[in-house]
Amino acid sequence: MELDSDVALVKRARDGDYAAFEALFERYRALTFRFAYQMVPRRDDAEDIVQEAFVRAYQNLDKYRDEAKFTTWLLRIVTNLCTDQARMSTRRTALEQQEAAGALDWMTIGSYEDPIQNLEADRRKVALRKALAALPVHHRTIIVLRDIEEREYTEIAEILGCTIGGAKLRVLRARRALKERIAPLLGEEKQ
Amino acid sequence: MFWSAASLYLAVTIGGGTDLSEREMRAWKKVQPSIVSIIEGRTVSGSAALISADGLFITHASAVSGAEAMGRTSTGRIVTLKKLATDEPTQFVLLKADIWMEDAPALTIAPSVQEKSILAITPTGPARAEIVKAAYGIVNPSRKVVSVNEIQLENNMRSLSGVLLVNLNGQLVGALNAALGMSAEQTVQKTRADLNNRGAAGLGGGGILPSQPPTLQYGPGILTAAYSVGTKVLSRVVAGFLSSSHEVRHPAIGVFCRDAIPGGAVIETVTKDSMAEKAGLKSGDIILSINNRQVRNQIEFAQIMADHEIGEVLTIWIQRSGLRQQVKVEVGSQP
Amino acid sequence: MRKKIEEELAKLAFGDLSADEASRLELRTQVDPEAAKTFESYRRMKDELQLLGQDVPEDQLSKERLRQAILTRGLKHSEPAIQRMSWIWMPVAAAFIAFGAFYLKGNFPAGGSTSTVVVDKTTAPEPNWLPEVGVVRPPKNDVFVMPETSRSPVVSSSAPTRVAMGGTRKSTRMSGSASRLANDPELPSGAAGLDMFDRSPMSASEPVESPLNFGKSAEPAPAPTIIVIQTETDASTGTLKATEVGDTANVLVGG
Repeated sequence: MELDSDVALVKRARDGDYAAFEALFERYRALTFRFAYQMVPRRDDAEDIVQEAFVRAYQNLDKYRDEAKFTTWLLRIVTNLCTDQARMSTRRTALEQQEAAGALDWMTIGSYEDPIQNLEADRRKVALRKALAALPVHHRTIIVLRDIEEREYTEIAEILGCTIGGAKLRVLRARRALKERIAPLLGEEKQ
Repeated sequence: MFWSAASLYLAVTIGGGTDLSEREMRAWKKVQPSIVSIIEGRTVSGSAALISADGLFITHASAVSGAEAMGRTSTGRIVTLKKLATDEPTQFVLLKADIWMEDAPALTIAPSVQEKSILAITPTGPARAEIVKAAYGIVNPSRKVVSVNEIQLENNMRSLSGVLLVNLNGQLVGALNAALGMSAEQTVQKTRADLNNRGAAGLGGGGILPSQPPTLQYGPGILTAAYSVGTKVLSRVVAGFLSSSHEVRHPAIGVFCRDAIPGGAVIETVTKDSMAEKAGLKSGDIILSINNRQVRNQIEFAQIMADHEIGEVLTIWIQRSGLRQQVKVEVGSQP
Repeated sequence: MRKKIEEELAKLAFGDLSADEASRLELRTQVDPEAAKTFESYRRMKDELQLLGQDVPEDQLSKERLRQAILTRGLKHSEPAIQRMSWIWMPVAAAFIAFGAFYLKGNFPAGGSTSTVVVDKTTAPEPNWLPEVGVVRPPKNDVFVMPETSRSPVVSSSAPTRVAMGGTRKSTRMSGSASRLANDPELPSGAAGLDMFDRSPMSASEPVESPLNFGKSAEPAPAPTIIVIQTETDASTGTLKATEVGDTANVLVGG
C-alpha cells in the first residue's frame, strides 16, 4: 500500500494522524466543491456543504470500507447533505426558486468573446441553472453526477446506493424532467 | 466480561464484510422467530411481530390491505392472519394467526429508548437504522398529537411498507408509521419492481435473507426520514390490543385547540359527551396551564396531554372572558 | 411524441446508445422533423450542462476553518471515551465503554435540533398569579427517557458552527468537553449501557432538571419538530405521508 494512497491516508487518520486527514481534504476539496456547487449554485452554501461533508467524513472514518473509492464515499456524504437540506426546505421551495433567481444575478454576463452572442448563451445558462435548481433534489443529483460531472454509472450507483440499471433509469427521468422545466423558461414550445 | 465486551467493540468498529454488525445480527437472530413476513401477491408487504404466544401479531396498516393476509414464518411455514383490530391514530393493526404452533417468544416492548441504534425490519430483511431525535406528529384526521421518533435509514431504496423497529436487545420500539414524502415522480411500479427483484429471492427458502445488491456502508449517509410513534404510545397500543376487547384507548379530554395570542391554547371545539364537555370547558376558553405546567401554545397543550393517562384528573387553569378560573377535568379516551 | 421515442432520442443526444442503435435512430431524425427537433433540444441541453460543469468559481475553503469546525464539535476521532476512562475500574468500565463507544461511532449528524420544548421565560408575559410553573415532574417510568416525555436542556456552544442546513437547525455542541456524552444534547438522554450500569457517570442528569435552569443558553431553543401525518399512503414509500410543519401558528390539534 502506497504511503499516500487514499486508503493509507484514511488509515492514518483513523489512527489519529490529523495531518493525514488534512491531506485528504486538500486532495479532494476542489472535486467536492465542484459537485456541491452544481447542486446549490451559491458559493458560500456550497462551501458550507463541503466543510460539513469533511467534518462528517472525519467523524465517520471508521465506517469507510476500503472496497469503495474514497471519492465515492465522500460524494455520497455530500449527496446526502444536499438531499437532507432539500428535504428540510421543501416548504420553502418557492422562496428558494426566487432566491436562486436572485442569487444568479451576480453571475457575470458575458466573457471575453462576442458580447452579442454571449448574451444569448448567458440567458440560456441562467435558465438552465434555474431549471436545475428547481428540480427535485434526486433528479438534480443524478443530472449533476452524470451529465455535468460525467461520472460512470458504476460509480453513480455506488454513490446513490442503487443498481446500475436503477441509475440509468433515474437519469432518463431526470433528463426529461429537466427538459420540461427548461422549455417554458426559454419560451420554447412544449412537445 | 471485559474480554467479551472488548471483542464486541472491536467487532463493531473493525467490522466484518457483512452489512450488519455482530450485535445487530444477534438482535436480528433473536427476534427473527417471532417475526412473520406478510405476503401480498408475490411481494412482501411488511412484517408482523408476535405479541402474545397464542398467535397475536402487531403490524402497521400499510402491510395489510384486506381483512386477511398471508404470512410466512422464519421457518418457511405459511399462516393465515386475520385482522382483529386497527388503532386509527397510530395505524397499528392487530392480527391473529389461524394456527400458531411455533415455539417463538412474544416480543416485548421497550419501555423507553436507551440507544439510538436500532434495527429496521424491512420487507427485504433487517436494515440498520437510527433514532435521530424526538418530534411530535399530528395525526389526521383526529389532529391528535403523538410523540414520535424520527428514524433514519441508511439505504432508502427499500419500500418502507410495514417496517417494524426493534432495538438491539430485541425489543420492539416502533414501526414506521409515516415517512416524509419523496418526490411524486417515483412511481408505484418502480417500488413494486424493486420489491419483486429483492423479495422474490427470499420467498423460496426459509428465513434466509434475500440476496440484495451489495450495500456498502458509507458515511453517516441517510436519505430517508421516517417516523415512528414513541415507545410510550406503542406500549399503550399493545396493551390495548392484548386486552379482551382488543381496543386501544388514547388519553384525551375531547377538545380541539389553536394557539392563542399572546399565549395559551384556545379551544375551538369541544367534542360532544367528552370529558371536557362534562367538566364545563367551552369553545373560546384559553388553556393556560395543566397540572402546574404552563401551556404556551396548542402544541404544548397536546404534548402535555400525551403525558397523562386515562383516569387522571387534571387541574386546568383557563381564561374565559377575561377572567381566570380553575377547572378539573378527568382524562378520558379518544374514540 | 411517444415517451419511448423521446427517451431514445435523449439517449442518442447524450451518447448512451450503441453504435447500431445510434445509426438507426439518426436515420429517423433525418426524416422526421419532430424527432430532429427533440434530438436537437436534448443535444443542446447536453452541451449546456457540460458548460455548467466548467462554470464553477474558486472556492474559499480553508484547512483552518475545517479544523476549527471539527474541534468545535467536541470531537476527537480516536476513541475518546476509552482514553479518558480511568483503567482502574477496568471490567465494569470496559463493557460500558464498549457500549458507549459503539454508540459513539454512529455519530449524530451535526446541526440537529433537540426538538424539545423549552420554557423560555422571556416570551409571553407570565401572569403573576398563576400557580408556580417550574418543577418538572420526572417522567414516570424511567429517568432516562427520550425527550418525548422529558425535557433536556439546550447547551450553548462557545463557538457555534453555522451550517446552512434548513434554517431551524443549529449546532449546539459544547466545544471540547470532557464529558461529551453526558452533555451532548443530541443524544437521547439516557446514554447506552444503562441496562447494565445504574449510576454510571455517563448518564446525564439533565432530563430531571427544571426547564427553567438553563439561563446560560445564548440562543433561543430550537422549536420542536412537528410533522403532520396524513391519512393517505405515499406510493413511493409505502407508508403514510408525513409533512413537516414549518410554523405551528394556527395549526389545529386535538387533545
